[in-house]
Amino acid sequence: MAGSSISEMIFFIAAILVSSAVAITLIGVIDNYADQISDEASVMEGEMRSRMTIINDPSYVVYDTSSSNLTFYLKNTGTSDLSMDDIVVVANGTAKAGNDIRVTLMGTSSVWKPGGAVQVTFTVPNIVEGVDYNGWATTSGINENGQIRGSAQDSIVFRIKGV
Amino acid sequence: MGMITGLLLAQPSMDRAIEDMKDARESVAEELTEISSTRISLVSVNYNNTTSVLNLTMENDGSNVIPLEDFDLLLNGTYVSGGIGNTGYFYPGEIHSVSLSNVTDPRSVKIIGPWGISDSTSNIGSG
Repeated sequence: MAGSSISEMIFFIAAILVSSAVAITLIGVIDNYADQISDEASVMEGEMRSRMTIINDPSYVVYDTSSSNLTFYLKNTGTSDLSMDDIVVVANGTAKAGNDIRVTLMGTSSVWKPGGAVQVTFTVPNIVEGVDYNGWATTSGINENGQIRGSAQDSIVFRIKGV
Repeated sequence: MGMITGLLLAQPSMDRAIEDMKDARESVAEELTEISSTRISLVSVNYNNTTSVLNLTMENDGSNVIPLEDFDLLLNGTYVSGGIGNTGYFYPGEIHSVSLSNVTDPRSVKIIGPWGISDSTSNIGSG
């Protein structure tokens, strides 16, 4: 009788241990899965909030023939601020960023807010009127805490107008 | 018993993750609706050679109210600071006129509204 009680107790404790192990494993797996979904939602929101449009008139992109400087105008068409430091521009296969581009914020704000535009001037040699060129620009989105979140990019097929 | 306990304890974090995803999807859907219902067009662009004034007439032919300060303007491919130079709102169906002074040799005009929605013309009349 006593032996039966002890073995029942052992089975009971074993059952508790096994079910606890199953519970802990399940919590871990589901928590990981939940974190992944949250991360995906955050990335999706970041990408969605960070948007930029090259607003140049495609048939009339200003090109300074003496300095070979091309000017792109980029508008923040998303709902979060965009980084002016992370801008990368490409035209006719020439990519420029950092100190190789001059970025001027249009308007009075000190940050590139939604709805705001920036002027990006950079050197692209040997482009001529009457020829179609491909242009592209990208930058990072910035969240409320000033951290990088998402990215914005746009492309354009354009012709220059020499000045 | 372990499965039931595990599922019960993990339920809140799963709910939160699903809610995050739902919010993100709803935001995307809302923005797409806003974008698809925003339309602007340049009705006419006329230049008075004597006074050097360029008159633009634009129409909000979408269904969204657009703050006028959200507009950008390019003249001959160059950004015009101050855009269309107005505060207030541009209501659906409304016609809005803008006059730019001291303009020389206008050849191309482009207006850009929210979401980058734009219209442009190189068909500039006189008068």
